[in-house]
Amino acid sequence: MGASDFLAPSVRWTELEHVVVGELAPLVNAIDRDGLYPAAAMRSLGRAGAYSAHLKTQNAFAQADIAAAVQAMSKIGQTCGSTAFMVWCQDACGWYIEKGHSAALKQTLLPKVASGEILAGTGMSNPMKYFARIETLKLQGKKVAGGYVVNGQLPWVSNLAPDNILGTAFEVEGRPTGDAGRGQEVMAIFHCNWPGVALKPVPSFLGMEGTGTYALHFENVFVPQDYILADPIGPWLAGIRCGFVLLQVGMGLGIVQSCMDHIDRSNQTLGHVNHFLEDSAEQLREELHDIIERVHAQSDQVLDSSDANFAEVLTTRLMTSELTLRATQSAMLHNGAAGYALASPVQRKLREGYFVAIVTPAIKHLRKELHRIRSSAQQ
Amino acid sequence: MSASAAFEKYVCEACNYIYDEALGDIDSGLPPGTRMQDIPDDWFCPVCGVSKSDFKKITPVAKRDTKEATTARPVQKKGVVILGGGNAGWTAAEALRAQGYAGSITLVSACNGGRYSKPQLSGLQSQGGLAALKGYTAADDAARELDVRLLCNTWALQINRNTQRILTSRGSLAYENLILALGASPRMPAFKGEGNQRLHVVNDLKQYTEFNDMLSAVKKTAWEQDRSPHVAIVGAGLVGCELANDFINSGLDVSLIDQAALPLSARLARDQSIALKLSLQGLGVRFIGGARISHISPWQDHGAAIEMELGHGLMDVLKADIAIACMGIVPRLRLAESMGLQTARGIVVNSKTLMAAEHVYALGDCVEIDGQISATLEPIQRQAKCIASHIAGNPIDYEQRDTVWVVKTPCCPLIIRAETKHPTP
Repeated sequence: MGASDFLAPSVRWTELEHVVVGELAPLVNAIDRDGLYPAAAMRSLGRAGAYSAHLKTQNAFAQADIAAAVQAMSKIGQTCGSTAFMVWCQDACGWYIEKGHSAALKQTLLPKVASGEILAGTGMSNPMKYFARIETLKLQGKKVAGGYVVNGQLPWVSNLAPDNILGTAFEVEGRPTGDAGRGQEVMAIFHCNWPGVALKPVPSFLGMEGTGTYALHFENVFVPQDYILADPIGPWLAGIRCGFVLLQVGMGLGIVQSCMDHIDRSNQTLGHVNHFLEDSAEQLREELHDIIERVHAQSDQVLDSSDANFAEVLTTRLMTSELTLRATQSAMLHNGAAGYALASPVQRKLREGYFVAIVTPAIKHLRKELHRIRSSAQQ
Repeated sequence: MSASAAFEKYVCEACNYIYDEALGDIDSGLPPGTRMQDIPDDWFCPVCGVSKSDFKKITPVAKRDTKEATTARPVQKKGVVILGGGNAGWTAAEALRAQGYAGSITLVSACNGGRYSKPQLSGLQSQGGLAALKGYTAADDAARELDVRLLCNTWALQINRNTQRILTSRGSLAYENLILALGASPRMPAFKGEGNQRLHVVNDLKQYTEFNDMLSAVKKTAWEQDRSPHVAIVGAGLVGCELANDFINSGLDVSLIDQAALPLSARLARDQSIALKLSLQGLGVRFIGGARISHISPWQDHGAAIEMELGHGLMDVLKADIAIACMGIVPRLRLAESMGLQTARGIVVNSKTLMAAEHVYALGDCVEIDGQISATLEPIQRQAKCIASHIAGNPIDYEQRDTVWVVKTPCCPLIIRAETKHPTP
């Protein structure tokens, strides 16, 4: 059947499966609705290799296998979209540190992020939107002896808890701003329990309440030199952006796979009427395989920092969002009342699917960036 | 014929150039008032080179019963999707309707989709500038007239031939038949130095307009200094030579630079090249042949300093108030390659059906037929007719003809007729 059947050895798939079925599955509704943050399950997933397949320096095969990381995320996402998202956050933070310039963090923190011993969030939504000229940067830093002092607020950062870390960017007082200054910002890692860092609750969401999402307030937070990953951020960002975006594809793929299963199940009793619906399981399956093929092809090119390559990755991500929305809508229509019940996983897929479509980079953000790149390349 | 009968207008069926009897065609020696029947039979269309017999009298036609503006139709019915809002794309839409195709047509254009005749761009300055551009139709108007659903400023990102779906920067589209009218993009300057952005490429109206605005600013500054602005043109091919002629006629100081010793040497016989060079020089164009550009730096507000090796160890630096790169065009292949179509220098299509694959056609500057890329206007009408005939149900074969290039340099007008076997450089 192709690329999707091959299981890379850097992930312990049977162990992963056991964690998903045994530890995660019983918690899905509590995670989705009650805000349960599944820290223990997240750690177990780490031990099964869910967070290290893409980190060359952190797995036994010394390979940067983004496709395997996506596959792991997808398998987790079939059961729980919230957890798949948090797996992405974890993967992203490991990616930042591995590609960053702090030898100290590569030694101390990176192995723990890769194993899941330390859980990690990513506050890159605002910076990514800033670089796409969608909004302004919300964190400001001032150079001091031994590091920077940072102030500001980020409205939503996920996979946070008092013992967690996160990666985010801030602009520096005194450096040029606007277009002239883009690329002069600083990327750093922060501990949630540092003085001055506060996690504030956010309003209730449509779902996925247990993702450890908080508003992050920084008040005179000192970040030492060892925790600076890139200064200036420009070249580092160009190097990590393809991996950052490509990894997210796993979230959508898991939801699509789950929707296909639900559609197949509904067809056992409703097939005689379901065939009047578009976006059948077969149609979705075909488009899912196209995306998986693209992930495998692009997995080998993630360090190519050109706009042309980034555009290919953005296209894969856009295809994933659009397919996810169609798959969740289709699953709802195929399942009818059974899917509409609050107890049904199908309605949860619908809500998780919206998240995939709006989490940075959202569909509109992806299209804006692709428009920019295509216009500049003249094709 | 009675002298008091109204003057008629005739349209060239290949390129839509309009011959107005009232205006004549002075450059060809036809004074205003010359009736079509009095024009010698060896006269040819000054834009695309077809003969007099390809002209058709324009008779007023009852306006097609059109619907409301089609730019915001909520539901797309499957039908034809045309990718490209240039001459080829619009001609394809026109041909479909002309042959009675009544299905849904969606046209996707990366630019604003306005219809205009690109060859005019190389003659505008000596006629006063952009205002001299004739026959521009806004995309909305063209769409309304042809009942076409329009997506402007929209890029096709990815195409799935199995599911017949197109991912665009404004949403997904489904197609029964797809027509690729992607055109060719200009070769971008990539010389050593920081001045590459100072070399304007003017491959479409938008780029030409930006250049024109810059030129206005440059003219103002130069006139204040009591001199003519100096324009440097890199590339003495078809467009480079036409622009050089146009600019010198409009009072600019012009330098025309090329790697080859003579202008248009790739297509012209040696004596024709020499004649062209002498004609341009006679008008005052500074032709610098055999020049290899080694470095380009920005110079002053809008210009460029161009460092060249002239052979035998000679170097020169040319400073221009404004510079243009006319370094040729390359068929747009990215989409075709990504969807698995056969490509060589262009998108390879069947020479009779113009199909690139099942349900996928291509025409215009992006295609290669029997190893040839024409990059001229003339074949487009006939290609569009052929494709429309296949989609509308009464298929006729396309006939490859020899490409004809019209070099619109009034100082030395030339027609180049190439055998189809002759490779395009």
